[in-house]
Amino acid sequence: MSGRVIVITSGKGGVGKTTASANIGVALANTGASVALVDMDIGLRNLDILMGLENRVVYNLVDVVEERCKLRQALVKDKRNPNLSLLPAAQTRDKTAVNAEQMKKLCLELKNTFDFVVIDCPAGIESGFQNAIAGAEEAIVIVTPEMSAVRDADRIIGLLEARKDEIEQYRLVINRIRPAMVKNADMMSVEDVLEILSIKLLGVVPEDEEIIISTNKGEPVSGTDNTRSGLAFRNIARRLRGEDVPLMDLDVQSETWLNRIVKFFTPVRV
Amino acid sequence: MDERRRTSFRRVLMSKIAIISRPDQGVVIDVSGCSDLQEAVEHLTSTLQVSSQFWQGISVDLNLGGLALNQEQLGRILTLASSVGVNPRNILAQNAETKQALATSGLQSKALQNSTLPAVQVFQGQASISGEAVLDATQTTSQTPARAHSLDLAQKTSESLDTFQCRFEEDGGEGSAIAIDTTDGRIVMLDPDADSRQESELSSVSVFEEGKSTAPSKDNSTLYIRANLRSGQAISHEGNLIIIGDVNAGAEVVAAGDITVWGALRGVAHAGIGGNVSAEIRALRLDPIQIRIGNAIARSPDAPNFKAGLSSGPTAGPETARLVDGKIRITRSHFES
Repeated sequence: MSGRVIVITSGKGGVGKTTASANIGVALANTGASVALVDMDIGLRNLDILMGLENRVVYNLVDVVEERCKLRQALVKDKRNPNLSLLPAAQTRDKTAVNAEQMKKLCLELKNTFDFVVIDCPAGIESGFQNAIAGAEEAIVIVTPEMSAVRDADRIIGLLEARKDEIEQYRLVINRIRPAMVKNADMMSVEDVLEILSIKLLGVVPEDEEIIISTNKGEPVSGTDNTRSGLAFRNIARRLRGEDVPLMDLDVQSETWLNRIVKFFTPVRV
Repeated sequence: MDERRRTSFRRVLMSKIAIISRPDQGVVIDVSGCSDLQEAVEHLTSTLQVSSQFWQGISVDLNLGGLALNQEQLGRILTLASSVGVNPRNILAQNAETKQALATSGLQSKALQNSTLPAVQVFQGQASISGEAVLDATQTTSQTPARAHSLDLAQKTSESLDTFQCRFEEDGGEGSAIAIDTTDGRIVMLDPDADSRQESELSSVSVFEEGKSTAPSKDNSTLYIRANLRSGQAISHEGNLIIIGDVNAGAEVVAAGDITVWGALRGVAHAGIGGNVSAEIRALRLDPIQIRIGNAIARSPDAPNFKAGLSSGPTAGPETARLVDGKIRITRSHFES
């Protein structure tokens, strides 16, 4: 079996790489695929917290690379979906603890066992980033509709483009979009971001308070129903599996019952 | 020469790596501005990635300058270069260890001919500076006095006029000059009195009369690039530059002649480097962070508009920037059928 190695990256920090990694991982696993989530943010590990698996971590990625344990010993099985495993980062080490060759070897080993290997890349463009993309065949670039995030994503895409031989495709996820602000031209729209970055769009995730709640609970939103962000991540997972899923309607938020009543009584202007 | 002007010139090419194209002779990739291997690797990875196809069929020389590399490190650089499709024809090195590594790898370190790298011309201002300005080449170890070199070089360069030009305006009567430092692609201030300035085998300097400096660059070659230039990527060319694609914010394009962007120009563009005041910058959407023509600089408005450079934004359509009375003017482009 040969799985797909997908790195989730952004350049800028705080745009939602780890959240996206956790949610895409969970959503992919819930479609029936076997998934390994790899936390490459060595020294600043978070993915285990988001997954609610912090208390189960025994070995980590650096232990595997340095051959202190077997790969399967370090993999932490998810408590909800047995298809999903997490390879946690080391917290007591830093980015220099691994190198690109070791990562390539690790990715090769992982993709022999799993359908999807999802790598959570650290922020920045230094060695941590270089190691995270070393073994990847696909990349998902996360961006928020802000100038600084778009600028950094542009830089990252430039770096990915240079590795066309290894990274076959890279697609964009626009995270934390606020439709009301876009409507008022206070925020870049999906079209604006795509115009600057000119790459393929994989999905759009609306800003959602549920994300914070789910992070605290250690249960990614894509595993639960009734959240708009969760639905967006599930759609992304389906697109990754080759399904043709249309973008969700971002204006749903205005369709609350109150709005509907207001709309009902508002005369239609032609 | 005041500090303000100095910084504005210094900013011309911030990259530690320069891509210098030479008419009919391919391209020199110059990493000598980097202080160590790590830096060279980082800048090579980030700057060279115009497109892997871009380098195909282009004859490339690699200038390692004074970088000290052992065989393994040299191997890393070469692997990296070949991974973006660059297979250098000649490798230039000035460091003894690097030369040794090249020799053991079966590669020869070659000296570039004077005519193969863009020569630098320092124009003499009316307040007349003496022609002792020489290039800042920190890598050489020779202790030859500056004066002898500049005289020598003045003769050498007269046959290679197709060069980068840098116009010097004297404002204080001080004997300082500006020259383009070809060893790392940056413009540096030079002090002709400083004996420590050395001339490298890669560079040349000549002194010209003031009157000739306004002439457009004699090099009319045009570099044609079909790619989006993304943040962190930089291109410089001695002639005209045409880019089919966008130049995004954070990218830099520098040319001795005109710059034409068939797309949106959102980054920094400097046309007419070397004092070609008739150079123009034109783009389908002209929303640069900064544009520079010759010695003039114009910047974008202080209140940034995130819609600038976007089709949903306020841009008027194709526009051209040119120098009018020493100031940059932007006008709507009119195309006559």
